Amino acid sequence: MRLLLVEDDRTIASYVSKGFKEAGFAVVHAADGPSGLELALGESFDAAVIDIMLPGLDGLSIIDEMRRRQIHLPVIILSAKRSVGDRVEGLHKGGDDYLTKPFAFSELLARVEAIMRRATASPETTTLRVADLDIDLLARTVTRAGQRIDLQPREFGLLEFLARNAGRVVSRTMIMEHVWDYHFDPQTNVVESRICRLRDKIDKGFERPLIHTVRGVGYVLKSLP
Amino acid sequence: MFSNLYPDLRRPLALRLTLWYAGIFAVSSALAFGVLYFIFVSVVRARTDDDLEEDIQEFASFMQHDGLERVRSEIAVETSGNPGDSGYQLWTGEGRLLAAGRTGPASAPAEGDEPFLATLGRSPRVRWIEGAIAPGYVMRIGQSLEDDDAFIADFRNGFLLTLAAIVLLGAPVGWFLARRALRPIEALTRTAVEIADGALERRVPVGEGGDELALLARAFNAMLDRIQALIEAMREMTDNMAHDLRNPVARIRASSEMTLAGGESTAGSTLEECDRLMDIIDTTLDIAEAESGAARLNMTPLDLSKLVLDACDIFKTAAEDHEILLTAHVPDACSLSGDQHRLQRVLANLIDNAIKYTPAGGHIRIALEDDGPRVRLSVQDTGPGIDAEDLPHIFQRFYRGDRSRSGNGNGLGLSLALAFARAHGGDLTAQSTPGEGSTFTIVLPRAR
Repeated sequence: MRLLLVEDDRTIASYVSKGFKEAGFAVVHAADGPSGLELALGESFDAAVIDIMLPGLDGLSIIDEMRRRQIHLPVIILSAKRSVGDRVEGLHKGGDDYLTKPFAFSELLARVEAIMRRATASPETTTLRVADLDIDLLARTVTRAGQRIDLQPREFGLLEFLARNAGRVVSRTMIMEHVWDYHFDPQTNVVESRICRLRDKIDKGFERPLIHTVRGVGYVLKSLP
Repeated sequence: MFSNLYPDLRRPLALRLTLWYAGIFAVSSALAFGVLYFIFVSVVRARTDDDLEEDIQEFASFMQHDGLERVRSEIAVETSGNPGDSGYQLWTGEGRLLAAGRTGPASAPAEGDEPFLATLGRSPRVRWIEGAIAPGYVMRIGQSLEDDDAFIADFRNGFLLTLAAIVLLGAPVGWFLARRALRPIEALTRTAVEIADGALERRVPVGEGGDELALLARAFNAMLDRIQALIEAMREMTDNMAHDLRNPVARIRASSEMTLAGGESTAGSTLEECDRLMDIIDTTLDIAEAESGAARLNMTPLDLSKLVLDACDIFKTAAEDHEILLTAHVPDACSLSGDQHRLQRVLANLIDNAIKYTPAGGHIRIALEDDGPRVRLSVQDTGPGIDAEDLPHIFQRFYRGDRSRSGNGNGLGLSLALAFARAHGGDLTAQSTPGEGSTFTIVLPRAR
């Protein structure tokens, strides 16, 4: 997996590069607009992460030029600006997703994988499996170690989202957005409360817990070795 | 006061008003005097001409009743009796001079039916009349204009003297009036300068009555009241915000120091505090954006009933954790055009707030009423209520009553809810009975 990263802030660039490399990506970094565009046009990538504010040429122009030349590389736009107008313009120009700084790296990784999945258009899976937990997306049933677990529709949605991102930390904001279509995190701990209920049903009575809390970041569904 | 009589070049408006005043005063006075002078001269001249015409008629009657000799003797009498100012000539129709008193034109008069008038000579100028007193006899009578001219000259000199006095007096009077009219404006300027120097509590003295300047002063004071209130609110907000931003930073510092000193990693709590800071910054920007009208609402048709039920569903387990009953009464459907994400946030903030202040065993009731042009959504809790002195301030950014100071909110939830409700053309109000609970009511217009 080759990823193009166009970002002028050195700290953010090195932190993002490191993260993607650990996740198994080959990262090519450009620190300004023109060299970013040159790379995007000259080399082949699986995905790109492009900052909007860049020296030389802004990120939206890079995407514009890429799309004009029929390069349909999936792109995530990064920006410190957070107005809806920028978001709309970015997506209109052909960005596939948009992330506001500061962001959680886990969220960026999840979004990059999501747009790559969308781009490769892999056939939709109908079952998800994490350790001894089986989720049937069509029948909307959950079993663990062969034992049937009854879930409320919301709980099923939450578990499905965790399972689709199994092994990866998802933030409360991501959960609110993908499970409830709420684009903010209420002050009341609604996610924590839901996770708590879900944990009661999924992990209670089993030796190995699958739902883990990562302090300050979010939650992850995985089987710890 | 007396020093005000001297023009001050540093006050160009007063000087300009003075010049205008004096100029207009002088021009209109000169115009009035000019017309008067013209009328006066006309009257004096007309009187002289009338006298001369009467003389001709008198001689005509002498001629008619007593004959030529009587005319000759009258000429002689008039010439000797009125020395200096008159001349008499009697001519025949053929141009022969029959009788003459004193000097006069040497040429024969032209014979005509109507009397002929002309002014001849210089100092003294003489007004002559020629007129037939009988067929074949033409009388020519002259009257010196010396007395008339002297009279007119006296009159003119008097006029000019008065005019000069008026013009000279016009300037100081104009200055006095201009200064008097501009005095309230100067007071206004002085106050504005003092305020610019920081004396925000100063006010302009408002004069008696309701003239334009009193209105200006009142409007100015009203504006100052508003500015002062805004600045005080902003000062208070900044203080509170600094306090609210300082706390997470202090916690980040403390935990980082502990990590450095070899304690366990506190990266998790640092991240949490960072998120809290980001949330404060983002929410502050969201409020500012909505208040300034810069927020572009993404208006779509939506079902408010569903929005309420979804929110209840989301908060249900959290409310249960707090042992609070959360119920909603909504119509089957309530369609409305609105920004879904922003309305979700308004509702979530109100529910957040209610959960935060409602003790265990309490009840939060959400009610949605549809009254046609408007939709009314209320969130009622059984919390401790809001003190009367806090109630007017709860929508201010970072404001927290004593009761909520210790809470974990960021003091922005209600401000944001209000700003978003207003961006939708609606409003958010609060009623509260201390000890019984509070009710927050959003009113949204159906069509915008």
